[in-house]
Amino acid sequence: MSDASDLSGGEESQEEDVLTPAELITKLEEAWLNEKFSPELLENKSELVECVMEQLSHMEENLQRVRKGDVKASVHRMEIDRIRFVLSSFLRSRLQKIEKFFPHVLEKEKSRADGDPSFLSPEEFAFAKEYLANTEVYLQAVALKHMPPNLQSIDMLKAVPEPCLDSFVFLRVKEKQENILVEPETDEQREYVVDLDEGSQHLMRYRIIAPLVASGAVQLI
Amino acid sequence: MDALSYMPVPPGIGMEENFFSLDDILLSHERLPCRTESAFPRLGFLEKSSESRDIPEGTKMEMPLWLAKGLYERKRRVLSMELPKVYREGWRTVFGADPAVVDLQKMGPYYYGLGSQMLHFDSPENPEIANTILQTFIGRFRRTMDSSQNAYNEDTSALVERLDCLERSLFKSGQSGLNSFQLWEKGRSSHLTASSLVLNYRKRKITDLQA
Repeated sequence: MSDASDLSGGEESQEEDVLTPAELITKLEEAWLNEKFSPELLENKSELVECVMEQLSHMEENLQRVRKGDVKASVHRMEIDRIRFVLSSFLRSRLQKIEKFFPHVLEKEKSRADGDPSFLSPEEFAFAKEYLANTEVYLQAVALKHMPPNLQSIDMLKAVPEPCLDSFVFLRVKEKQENILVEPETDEQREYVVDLDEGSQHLMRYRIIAPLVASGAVQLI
Repeated sequence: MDALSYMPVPPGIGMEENFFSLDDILLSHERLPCRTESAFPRLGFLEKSSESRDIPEGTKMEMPLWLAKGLYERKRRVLSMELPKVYREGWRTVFGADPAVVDLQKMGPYYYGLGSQMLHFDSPENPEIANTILQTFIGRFRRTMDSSQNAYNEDTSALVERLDCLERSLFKSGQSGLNSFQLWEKGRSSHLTASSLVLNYRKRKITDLQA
């Protein structure tokens, strides 16, 4: 990671706190892992994506200036490829979740208050709306128009399954948390309270720690 | 790796059924024994054994799950459901004794799915049914997982024939994980292969067309 700062040497001042490129890549990797392992669509990280894209184009420019045949060039090129893979994998898993849960994602976007951060970037929102429209047109043309007239509508919110928030996830604790309430799973257990120590790893239902993932206090692994 | 070019909707979890899931649609065709609590005029054609035009009250007949779920109401004016044989007391003790030897494919290929759907019908034995299904799954899971992870490149039909559909899909994902890992070990994981869709459509090569 020191190669990145060594070659590009720039700092991003797009946000309030200035990030070194190394920290930026770490944040990207954390966001990537969280998105991959969480069962629902997480908050949108468009500033992070933009910063990383700028960083990548920076690094490409610098690579053009290096003389050919230098060993360092191939190492840096490999690093650029790796960062590009992480970024596209992150965006790919977001798109997959949008495709899987499209009516619920659009519903959540419609019902959020104006001040809250948005879950979808403008491009993702357009994608989701188009996907919904296309699916409805397809179902209409293939099946629904042949049904009796009072059965020709389908409620997408009920037809498409919701994300399963009760699935178990592995997590590592970054900030110490106290008094996390764990719901009972079977009738014999009662709800109990756990403390999460820093650096410890757990396996829990996603529903319990969902707010902690959003705030960055735990990392899904 | 088998990354499909489409994402099939998985069967629903627990008591939910997914509308678009093919497994759930096939599951809902299973027939259940039931008793009609009110008369169904002019629907005699549903009941093959009787010749009358309507179905009188109190007939015992078999209905598919989708029809039974739609007609069932809590006040029980329309239908009362009986448990199929597999979920009754006798078979429950068999499952309790040794879950691993039972042939679940014969007992109805959707044992777990149908059992979860039976819980909708408010039978007094619901907690026991739910518990039996859970314990059966726990008892059989170990063997399914072991056999799926250790049967590489051999004929698995003997292992799979006693499993029901949920266990078969678990077995299949275990096998695909094992195969992917072996491919990765051989260094062939980035080897490009023709997609399964193309192979299934069996595109004719240009050389065959021109000949």
